[in-house]
Amino acid sequence: MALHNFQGLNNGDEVDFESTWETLAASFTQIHTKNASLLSFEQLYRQAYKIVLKKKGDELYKRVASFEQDWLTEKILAKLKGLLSNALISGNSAETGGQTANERLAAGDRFLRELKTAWEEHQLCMSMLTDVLMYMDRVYCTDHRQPSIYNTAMALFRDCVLLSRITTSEEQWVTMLGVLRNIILEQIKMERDGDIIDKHAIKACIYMLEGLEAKDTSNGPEKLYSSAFEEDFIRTSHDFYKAEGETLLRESDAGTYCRHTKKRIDEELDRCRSTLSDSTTSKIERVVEDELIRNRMNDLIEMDSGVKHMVDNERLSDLGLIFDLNARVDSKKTDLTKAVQRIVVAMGTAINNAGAAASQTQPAPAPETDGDKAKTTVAGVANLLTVAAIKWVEDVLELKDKFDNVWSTSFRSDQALQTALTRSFAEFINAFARSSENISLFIDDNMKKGIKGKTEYEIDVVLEKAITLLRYIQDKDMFDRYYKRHLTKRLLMGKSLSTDVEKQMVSRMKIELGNNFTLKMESMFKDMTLSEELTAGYKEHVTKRGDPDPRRVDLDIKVLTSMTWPLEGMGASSESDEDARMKTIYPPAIERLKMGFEKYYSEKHSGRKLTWLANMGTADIRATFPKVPSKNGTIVRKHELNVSTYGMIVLLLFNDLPSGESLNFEDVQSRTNIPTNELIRTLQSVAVSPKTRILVKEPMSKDVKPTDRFSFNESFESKFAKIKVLSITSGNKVEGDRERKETEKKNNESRNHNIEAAVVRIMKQRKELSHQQLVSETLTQLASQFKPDVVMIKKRIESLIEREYLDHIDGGDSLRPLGPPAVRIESP
Amino acid sequence: MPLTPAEKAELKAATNTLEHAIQCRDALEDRPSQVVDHQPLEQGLGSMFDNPRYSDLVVTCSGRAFKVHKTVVCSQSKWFAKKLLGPWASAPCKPDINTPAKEAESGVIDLDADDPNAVEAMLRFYYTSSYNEDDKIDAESGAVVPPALLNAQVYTIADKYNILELKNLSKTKFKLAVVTSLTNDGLQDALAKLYILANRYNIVELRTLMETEYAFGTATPQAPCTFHDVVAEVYSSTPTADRGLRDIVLTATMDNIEVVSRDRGGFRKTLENNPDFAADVTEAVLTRGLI
Repeated sequence: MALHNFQGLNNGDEVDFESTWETLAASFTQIHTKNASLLSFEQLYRQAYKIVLKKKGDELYKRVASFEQDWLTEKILAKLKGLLSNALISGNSAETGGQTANERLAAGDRFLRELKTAWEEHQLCMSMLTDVLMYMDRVYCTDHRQPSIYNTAMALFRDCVLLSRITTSEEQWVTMLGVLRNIILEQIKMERDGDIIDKHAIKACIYMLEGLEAKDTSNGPEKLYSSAFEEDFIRTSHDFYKAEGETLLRESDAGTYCRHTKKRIDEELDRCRSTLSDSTTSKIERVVEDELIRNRMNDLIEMDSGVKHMVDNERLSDLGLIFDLNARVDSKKTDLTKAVQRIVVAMGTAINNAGAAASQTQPAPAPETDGDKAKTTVAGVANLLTVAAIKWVEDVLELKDKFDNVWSTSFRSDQALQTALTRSFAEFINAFARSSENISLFIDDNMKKGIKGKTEYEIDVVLEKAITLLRYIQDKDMFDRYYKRHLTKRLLMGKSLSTDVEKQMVSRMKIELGNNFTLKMESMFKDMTLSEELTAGYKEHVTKRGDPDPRRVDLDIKVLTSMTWPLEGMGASSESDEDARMKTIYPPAIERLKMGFEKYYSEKHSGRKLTWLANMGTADIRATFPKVPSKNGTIVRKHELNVSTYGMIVLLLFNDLPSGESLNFEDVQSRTNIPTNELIRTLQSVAVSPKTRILVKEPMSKDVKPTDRFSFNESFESKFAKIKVLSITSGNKVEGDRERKETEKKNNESRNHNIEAAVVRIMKQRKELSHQQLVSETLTQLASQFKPDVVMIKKRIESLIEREYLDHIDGGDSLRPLGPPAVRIESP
Repeated sequence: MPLTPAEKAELKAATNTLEHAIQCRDALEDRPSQVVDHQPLEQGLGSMFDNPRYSDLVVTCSGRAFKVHKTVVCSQSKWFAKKLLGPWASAPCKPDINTPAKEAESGVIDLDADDPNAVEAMLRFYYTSSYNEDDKIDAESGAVVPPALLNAQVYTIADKYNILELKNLSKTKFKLAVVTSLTNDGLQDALAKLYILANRYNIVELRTLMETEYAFGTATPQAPCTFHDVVAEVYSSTPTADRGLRDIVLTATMDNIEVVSRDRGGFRKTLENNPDFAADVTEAVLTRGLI
């Protein structure tokens, strides 16, 4: 009975379902044909609700799906197929059969727009159907784990429309999706070539592909967009940009290439936004970067119009583009960095070669003006060398300025490139043997003339430049040696324009290189200050003693602490010279003065010994020459002569000599005891130099020979009241090869001391170290002063072992200090 | 007149039954109310229900018309929103056909197929988050609708239009109504049995006590039995998988099998008309064992 009833109920519903479905299906057709305005939402909802309530949800779901499948296949697909020409299907633009590109574009557009419309209408209709079938989705689909009818209908669109096959010829077919892909790819290519395409139509179709899952989900869920379009897009883009890169490198210059690449990247990013999908942005960016930048960077840099050309021609904005491109694909900018380093080293080496060539220039005809014939003397050649040295520095600075500008403007002040530039500058500067000397000469030149009339700011700039170069110098001890020597001459001969600036320079070096470096320079300045006080004090002392001698000689004394001043380069280089100088015979007036000061000084500082360096001093002499007749009657010719101390001693000899008498070279030497070299130079300056021939030499020639005779030049004439007798040793000049070897030898000696001191310091602290460790630690300790040769260090260690300061532990490789600390080594 | 031992035993059993029934009722009353009315969104909003002021939509049903507001119903119900705001509101139509004014535009929605009491409860719920279950008159019969039945009807409409909160509320109310109804039936039965015995054996004190204490015999006539209607509503108007009300009805039936099966003919008819219910009961009997 119950069973019968159950059946009966079901049978009753069966009839109900068929007729209800009829109504629903008719309404769905109306919805699809845009004729839904007469339909009643609640009626349709109620009918679907009832079917589901009567357990017919499954049947309803299947009927709706089948309805949609039929609709898509019969109406939509048929309509779309009608729009396809064979050319569009094959996707081969070669087969256009007389079609112009524009016609092809238009045909593609029509298809895209129609597909877009079909998709959008499908979505709209399905959303209306879904509204009506809400109860089925919620009750039936949820309980039976079915996708919502909407999703099912979307998948149907994919399967029935997009994946439907279109036969092109026997055994050959493409899917609608394939056609769509080819059309989009072709249009993108057209856009890349400069045509205008309908971005909105493509974007709508891309939206569709993004909204659909791929049918084959074996590799996890994937959007149709990625599987059916993106891969091909990326592949064809690779091909396109690879070809374009080749053409561009061949046909345009580097600047154009950069600008074009930048434009291409912007275009592709923009295309992802406006036409394709944001999810493709990074991938296509990578494609363009790979094909136009990463794989081409080196070619681009090496082009004729590449980086070298840009640097030479100050193409800062082009260099900036290259930098941007390289930075885009490589955070280290390896390619550009290498290229720039090569260029810097090449340009620097050119400067070095020019500098070396200039320093080889021997007395060859000087390119100076004819008016200054004095310059063609030996002193002139030295001057030329100095000019070349300064030119080297200025060239380096100019190169530095050039690359600083490139760096800040084009290289966006990039840290990595700065490091690279610094390394390259250091490389070529240190490759040049005379760099330390030249930089010191450059500073010397500026201190003596360069800063004249400059504002504080301008002086600052000069000092900063010098410091910049100094930073590159590896062997700071060589620089130290030259700088102190040059500074000494400036200070003692009063050549510095400003003591303030000198002190500024020293304090800058102190900041840059540390206290130790400038210790001696600072005490040099202290000596200068003390000397001024001594001079003033002595003057007062003499005045107080009440010696009103009108012929009194004024004394300006510089008392120099020995060891602080590098006097070896100033003629005090050997012991025998030392002896000879001690015996210099001063004229009585000067001898009195010397004694007076020595007495005064020993009262102030007992126990100190003064050594007089006559070769370092100068004297002002007021000289009266015999009256000579002239147009304005006779005039007394008085001149103030500025000569070296030796010059003064020599001239005073002739003061006491009766008019017309003469002295020969040997006479002069025996009466003064001036070393031969110095005497020759002194006599040259007062008897040979054309403008300061206060003495007459017999016979007249450029060289001074021991047989020459000298007498007072009564007919000496000069337009100037004050005359400076140029001394050959007066200026700071480039060293000759011999001097240079001497300097290097001295420097190596002091290096040896420094290395030994460092070794002993390290061993005192560490007690026990292996040979290897000791060498490397010594290298580290000395790095701020110079870069020692490893062989040199090993030799010093051997020497220390020999002298029993160090010992091998049990005959092994390890070392330990022996006995008391090596005090001797620390204070040579 | 002394009672025979058999009579004594009968009387004692009746008294026990009564005590049990009273305990059941008391337990019911002591229990804190499970019905927690939602707080009205706004007192003012509640008063707007069926208020012609600002009303822009009329919902009709079996001759009744409720004046409501699109803002309220669309924000409360997805169904109304789909109907009035989605593509259906602007359903595409061929431009040249002169279409008559549609419901969306005319502002009338006809829910004729639904029960008017349930429709009213649903609409009121939109405004007040609650509804009233007392004294509803059935439109066809004119009789008072028992709360259990009304709650079942509200549950059905809440399911149909997918209003989850209303479903939960009506389910709670339904459970309480069913249990109350069945418990009261049990109490009445027990009292009746005891009263008959008191009469039969002429125990004056007991009869007087019952008449004064429980007002028995003077009470209003019993409401017609609604068990069949409730089962029919629950088992025909909600989907099979929706166990919400079905479990409540089943549990209540099994707990009070004596009360519901008192009318053997009626109970059998209920089983016959509702095969799902019959299946549920059979399964429950197999699980629980025979009473």
